[in-house]
Amino acid sequence: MSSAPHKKALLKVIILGDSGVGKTSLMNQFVDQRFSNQHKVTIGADFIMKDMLVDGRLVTMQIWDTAGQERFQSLGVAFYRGADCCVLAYDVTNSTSFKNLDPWRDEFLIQASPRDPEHFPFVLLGNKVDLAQDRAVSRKKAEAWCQTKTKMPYFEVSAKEAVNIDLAFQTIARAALARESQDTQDFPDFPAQVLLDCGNAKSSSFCSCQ
Amino acid sequence: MTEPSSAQPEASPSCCNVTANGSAHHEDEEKLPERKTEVKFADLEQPSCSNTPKKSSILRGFFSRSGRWKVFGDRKTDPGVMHTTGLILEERPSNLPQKSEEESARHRLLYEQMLEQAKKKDVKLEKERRKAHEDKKKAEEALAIISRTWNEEILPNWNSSFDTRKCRDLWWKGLPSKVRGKVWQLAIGNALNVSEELYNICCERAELRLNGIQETGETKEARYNREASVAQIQLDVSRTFPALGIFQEGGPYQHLLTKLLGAYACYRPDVGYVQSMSFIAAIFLLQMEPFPAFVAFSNLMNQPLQLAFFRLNKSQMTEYFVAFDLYFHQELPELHAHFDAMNLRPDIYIIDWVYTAFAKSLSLDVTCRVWDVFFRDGEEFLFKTALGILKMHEDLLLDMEFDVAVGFLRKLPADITGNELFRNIEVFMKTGGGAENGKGKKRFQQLHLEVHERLTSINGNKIDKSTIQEISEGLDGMKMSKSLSVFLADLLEGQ
Repeated sequence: MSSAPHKKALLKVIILGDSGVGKTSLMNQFVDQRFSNQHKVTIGADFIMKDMLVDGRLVTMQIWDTAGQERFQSLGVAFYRGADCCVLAYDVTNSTSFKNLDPWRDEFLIQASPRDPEHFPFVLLGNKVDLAQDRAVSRKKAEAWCQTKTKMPYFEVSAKEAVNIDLAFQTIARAALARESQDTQDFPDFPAQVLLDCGNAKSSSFCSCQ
Repeated sequence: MTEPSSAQPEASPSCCNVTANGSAHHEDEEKLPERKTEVKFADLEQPSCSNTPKKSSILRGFFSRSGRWKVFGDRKTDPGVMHTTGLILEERPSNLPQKSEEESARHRLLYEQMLEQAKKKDVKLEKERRKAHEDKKKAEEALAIISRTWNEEILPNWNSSFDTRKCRDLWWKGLPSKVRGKVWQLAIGNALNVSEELYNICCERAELRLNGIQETGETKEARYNREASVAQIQLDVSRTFPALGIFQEGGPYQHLLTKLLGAYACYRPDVGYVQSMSFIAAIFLLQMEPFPAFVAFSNLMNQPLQLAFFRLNKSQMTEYFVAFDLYFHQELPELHAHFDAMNLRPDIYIIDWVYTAFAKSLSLDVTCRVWDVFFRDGEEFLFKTALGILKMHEDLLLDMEFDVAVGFLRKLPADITGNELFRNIEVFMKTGGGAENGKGKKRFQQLHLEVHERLTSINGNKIDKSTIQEISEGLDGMKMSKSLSVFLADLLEGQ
């Protein structure tokens, strides 16, 4: 069941979405409150930690930023496992990035194979709302899509101008925390533990990254 | 090179009362006024003093009316020392009450003290500057000798000299930038026989694609893939070495890099464009002309390690991860145990390092030095470099928690120097002349081969719990991280 009241929760969050929608920028804006045009392509997956207060409780967010190129998805399983919340990101000026949300979500559920996938928390972020004149996906359309996905929370954000970032991540943290405390045994069994070093096995918990 | 020596002799005689000369500031105060050069400026706004340093411009701001000024020194003579020269107003402007004798004397004294301090600082700076200049000159001379050796001795007799002791020693110290492109081309070779004709055809096709001209008979899916990869290349080129600014919109190399990657995607549609290729292609373009850069890039991408990663062949990638894990355990057992206890799997940092061959993680200079030996020794050197980085920061890493350690490895300190890194890699160069050395240590290639044999022995079987058990038994006797073993199961499960 839920962890001890004073134990600081570690929440694992994955950001997915097409290349160039601004996943790294969203993360940087949230963690460091800055935006740069000069960041490099993400290869594999990167992560960043941030402590924050959620409803009076201190939690540590471990946010995994992934490569956007589709073919890297096959490596995803290594990074998705143990996630408490999945953030889907698209670019409001790029309709393809919106169309690809379904495949990203499906692929995540297949690869991470969480228990009770219907209720696994996702949050949708529509980035680059500062570029209003180039807008290609309307808020209405995005909201309609969210309605079909068990009312996925949706935020229109701008990593560049820090619009709605904190609010969005508060919601993400809350969703992750709810998931984490409701079911700490999300990923109970790994397919098999290839324990080569049997003599030294110290603990039975291989739950990711703790 | 000759500029300091020619400037020096004329410097001292033409200097006025303030010089770098050690004796100058011991001169008596009374003597000074005689030697002062009194100048009147009718209009201080004139550009004649526009190139004087900050101090004078500040003064100019304060005293915009004419007054009596003295000029100390002559800036033109010794730019290295005389930069504190300024225009100093000796008396107050005529519309203000004059200073008392006492006040004037006090001001003069204060001024002399300030000047003296500035002089001392100048002399010190000048000494440092000369020393740095001499060091640089020495380094340049040494480099010129090394470049000559490469150009006149090694390159013309490549086949007979590239594997000599002398050449290997020189190579280890880093290739001079002037020969780097040539040596890389020779070391990588062209096993694929990529001809200029083929290259031109690929470039033409790439241009058509990049310009969005539709090819006939294309399926809808092919078109989607093509558009996706073209858009991906264009997006990534602008995110390649952003700090250099040359691959970005309007930069001189933007088109060259886009073209190379596009041409490669046409040449090898089975590989296509994969994120991180832009970093590798960019470095080749910085070292050689577009055609040889294409040849080098294509041949590098055809190496087993690169093929495994760029085609996302998970079982082959897994073999590399396991082999690296074993290698890491063999060479740095304490750090390996620490990482394993934290569940820090090697793939978390190795993926980034292998895909870009460190181009994203190390500075451009250091990356080139790593590539120098990588092209000579092959993929094994990339894993030695990885160990070198780990060894170099071992003490720090041993005190780090999971998240700090991952953050550190994913964003290495920017000040890692080539010499420092290579000192740390050198230790791993000694392991094994043959398959194993006296201490029973295995080379990376040996470990990789063993992992490959054991993993492929179960190849073709459906992976389930029992086969993973089998792998586990097959790998028995190999020390593998518990973290990695879980990952291994994950990776193989998805096959």
